[in-house]
Amino acid sequence: MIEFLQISLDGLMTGLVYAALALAISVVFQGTGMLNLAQGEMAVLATYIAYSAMIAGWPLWLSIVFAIAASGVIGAAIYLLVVRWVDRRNQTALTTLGVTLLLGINAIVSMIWGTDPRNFPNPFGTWVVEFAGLRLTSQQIGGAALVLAAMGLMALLFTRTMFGLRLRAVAQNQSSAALLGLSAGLWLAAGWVVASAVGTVAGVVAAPTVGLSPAMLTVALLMALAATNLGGINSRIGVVIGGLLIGLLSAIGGRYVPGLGGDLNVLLAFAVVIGVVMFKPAGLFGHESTVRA
Amino acid sequence: MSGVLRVWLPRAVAAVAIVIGAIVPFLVSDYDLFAVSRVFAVALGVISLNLLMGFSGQISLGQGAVFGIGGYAAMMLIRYAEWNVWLAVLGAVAICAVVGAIIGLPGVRLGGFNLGLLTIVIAAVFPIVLYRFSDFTGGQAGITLSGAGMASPTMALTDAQWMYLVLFAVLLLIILVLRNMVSRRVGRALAAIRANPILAASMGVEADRLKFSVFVISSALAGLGGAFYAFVLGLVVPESYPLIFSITLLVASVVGGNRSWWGAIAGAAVIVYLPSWFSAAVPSDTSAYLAQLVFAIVLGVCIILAPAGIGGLVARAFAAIVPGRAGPPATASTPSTTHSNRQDIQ
Repeated sequence: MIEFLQISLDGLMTGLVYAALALAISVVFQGTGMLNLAQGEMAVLATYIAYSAMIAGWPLWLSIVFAIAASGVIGAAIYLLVVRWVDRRNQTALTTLGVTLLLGINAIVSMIWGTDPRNFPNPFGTWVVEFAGLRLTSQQIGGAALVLAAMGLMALLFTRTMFGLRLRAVAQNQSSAALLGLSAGLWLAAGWVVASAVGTVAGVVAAPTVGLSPAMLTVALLMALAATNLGGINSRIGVVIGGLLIGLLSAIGGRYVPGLGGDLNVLLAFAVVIGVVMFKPAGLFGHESTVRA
Repeated sequence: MSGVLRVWLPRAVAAVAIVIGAIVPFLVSDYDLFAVSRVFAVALGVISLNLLMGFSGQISLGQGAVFGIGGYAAMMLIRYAEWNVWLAVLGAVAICAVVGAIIGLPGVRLGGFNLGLLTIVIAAVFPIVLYRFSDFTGGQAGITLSGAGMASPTMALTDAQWMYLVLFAVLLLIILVLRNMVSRRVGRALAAIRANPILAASMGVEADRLKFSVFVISSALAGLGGAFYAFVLGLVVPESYPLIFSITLLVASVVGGNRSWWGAIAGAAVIVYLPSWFSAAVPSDTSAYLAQLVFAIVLGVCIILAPAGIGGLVARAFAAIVPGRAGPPATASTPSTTHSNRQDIQ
């Protein structure tokens, strides 16, 4: 029983990273209608930027803040220079564009920093908390705190500020937002900034455990995509819960389903997701859009 | 006058291309034939993606995995079941059709980005599965053939020439069959589904069934290409089929133009030749990533500036040179396409 609880707890902690990435994907999708398959790779790029800043002698936390800011700029640039020129009704083109960005950013990162894994320092020191037979590492607790803080900030931003209100207005209905004098392009770019920043947090939290490399977040990205499907890509709370569920499911699947250990622990999570979306295509918390014929 | 030209010029160009294609193996070295054979095998994979994306509007980010399954199936049938090459090709096609049916059953109902997720997962998991079951798949070392993949039956042709000619003939045959298929009822029904699914359904098009069939056919085609690709290389290894490979096939499909069969060959040539040119020009590890970056840029430019790819550009240039009623291939959403469908779909 203790083992099961421990595995579930570890799974939830990993799930937080998926949840953060899924949240970034969801924000971009709601705004731009694009399934950004490059979200993971953008986070990797930002994590490398933090790493380089650190190598250059900056303090760790300052490097991380700098990377978050830099990734925001990169996100806005990607939207303004590339994404906004594609017809937003063309799903296939937009998905292909996501793949394009994935390919391009992966190539750039691999060329600049190489593909050998590097050690990313753990920002939270090394200590362990034990409670009732369960243990949590400093990395897990600190990472969870950081991700939850980022999510909390984002929730406040979206629901309590004028900035968030406008962001949501543009995401929901571009043309009526335009009639209110909101420039759709700029506000959608702002959505990309927010998404990139949250994604960067996921990268920084994941890097110390999995090792900094261009492919560091590939699995996490797949998990995040599964989370968006499970939770419903239109629901910010839904995708976070989806991320946690996916983390939980893959940890449990890896341990208790024979043959699923190691790299294949993703399978149980995906099987569940596909099962769910067969019956509820919009995901657990999503709402179906109705189309007028 | 221009009407005659419009009908016969493309046919003449195609005829010249076919004649050149048939003469080429006797003019160039076996090494170059090997590269062109690779292009043809990859082109079959790209064609399968064109059928799926360009004509039925479904996305697959995992076609590379199906392509790989075809390769592994063919090699394993030869190696373990000791089937002959042709039977192994048929076996690979059949296995991939079954795989396509398994993916397509939920896939057709999912559609959109749920289908994108399902297929990208397959692409990501395929190499992992290959390593996991290394007792059957040979793990990292893969499966190799003892002799040539397709040995030449006559002394008059080298193995490379024979392989090339076989692939050339198969490719032509497939293009011919598919051209016929999409220019008839099935094609118009697919166009109607792409243009307006609700309208198509109200005209009695069984969208799900049709999409499912296309998914199965497309997977079988990918398997065909994959089997030949494995024969050309003489081996299958997991590192030939990473997630990036599936994405590269997508690059070829979009760059070549996913509504053009000839464009598929052009797209395949781009993804086969470009990396080797780069590795010749930039002799280091970065060359592969440089090629990847160029792919990304080309793909991005294509998506934004030339959504119909090379094939679409050629068609437009042709329409500009030979003025006539038929403009560039009509996009799915134009009312005229939908209108003309009406007479054919009960």
